[in-house]
Amino acid sequence: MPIYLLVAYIIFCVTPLGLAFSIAARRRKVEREIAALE
Amino acid sequence: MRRKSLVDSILIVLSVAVFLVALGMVFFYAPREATMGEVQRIFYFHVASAWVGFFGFFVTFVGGVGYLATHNCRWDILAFSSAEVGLVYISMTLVTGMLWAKPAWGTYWTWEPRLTISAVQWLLYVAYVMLRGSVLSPEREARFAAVYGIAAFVTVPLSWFAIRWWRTIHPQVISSEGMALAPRMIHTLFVSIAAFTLVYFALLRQRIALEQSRDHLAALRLHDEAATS
Amino acid sequence: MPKQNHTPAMTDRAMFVFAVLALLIFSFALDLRGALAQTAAPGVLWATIAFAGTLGLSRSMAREQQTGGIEGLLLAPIDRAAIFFGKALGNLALMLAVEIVLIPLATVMFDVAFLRGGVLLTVLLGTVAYAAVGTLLAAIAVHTRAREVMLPILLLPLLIPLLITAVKATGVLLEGATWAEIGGWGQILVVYNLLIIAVALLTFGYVIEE
Repeated sequence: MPIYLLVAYIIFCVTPLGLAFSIAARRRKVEREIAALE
Repeated sequence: MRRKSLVDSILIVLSVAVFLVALGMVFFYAPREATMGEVQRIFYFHVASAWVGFFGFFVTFVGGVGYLATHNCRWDILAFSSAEVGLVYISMTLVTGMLWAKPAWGTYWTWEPRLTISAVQWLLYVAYVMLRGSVLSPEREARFAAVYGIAAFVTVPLSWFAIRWWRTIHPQVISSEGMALAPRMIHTLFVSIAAFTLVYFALLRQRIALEQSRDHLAALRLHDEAATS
Repeated sequence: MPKQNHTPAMTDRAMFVFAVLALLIFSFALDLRGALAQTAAPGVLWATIAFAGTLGLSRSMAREQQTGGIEGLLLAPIDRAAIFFGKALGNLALMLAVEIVLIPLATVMFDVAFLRGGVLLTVLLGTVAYAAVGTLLAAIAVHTRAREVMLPILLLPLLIPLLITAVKATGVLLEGATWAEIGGWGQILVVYNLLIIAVALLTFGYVIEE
């Protein structure tokens, strides 16, 4: 029973973090390209 | 630019803080539920997630209206940024809903109103994203997405009512509405929703900033091409 | 313009045949006999209408690609709303034509009383809404890479409240209720129509502008 609870809360914590990292990684890439041009 | 970064930083710190408080409340402050036991605690973040999924859709709708009214790209950026974050949250809602359904009702899926409406919203989000990927010109993409976002959002309240009615005719489906909410549960739920809303805005701001950086890069490239040609 | 290897007339006939085939396939697949047939009949009818409708809308899209219709209309001083109504009424007429064949057939096959005032009104309301939102989305889908494939993906999730309501209302009416007795379902049908037609009228201009 508790396993469902655990997995659910891992998902609740990891997913927004994952999205945040994805956005940050994409942004870093773009910033690097901007720096190369400037 | 620096001023915006300060607001963003505060937002990030605040959202993480409230998220942790909510997490603490879910496990240590909220009482143990009588019939379902510990598994019931999924409820708080699951409902908060569903709320953000819906709210994200609403913001996409607003972005669409704003874009059609002003033809200013900032509204379109708002629309698809919110769609990205919202889709993630609706997906999370569905998965955690299934993780709750299995121990609670013995089956991974049930046509319970909130799960069903989340599934409908998920399909609408996916259709929105597929539409955006399928249009050749960027200007058309923004316009079409705005129209679809508006039409899709308008059907969501109708789906909600239709599904709720559809499900009340079959009383053997246990609805989460049947859960009695103690005051501590209500507090936990409220803080959870607040936490998720803050996280949503933080992610939204970051996603928009990413797009603004991309636009900046594209402008630089154009400038470069013009200079060298 | 890509050359179509079928004429709109053939696709019309295909739509009728498809609708009849769908009814048959549902009957076989679900083994619809007796009481089960009566319970499933509203759902089967509306599912058939939902899928056959996408065929009809694709036909309109294909015809437009062939004749380059829209560009010509945009040059003329015609109100965008009028263009929308023209297209939507065309799509509506085609769907109603198919339903005129489909409903009596379903009545006989499932032994249910579809041919009653309340049921026919429900079908009409549902079809009008379908034609409205379908026309709007077809105008969008025509300019996508996937074209006809995009249309069901866009359309079906939007139709969910309509389909739930239409099936429920039809089911209740078949059990002998009058229009007044179906209460909320009827209201949702009307509200869905009003909202979706309003949205379509307000946004169609944005879809077809160049």
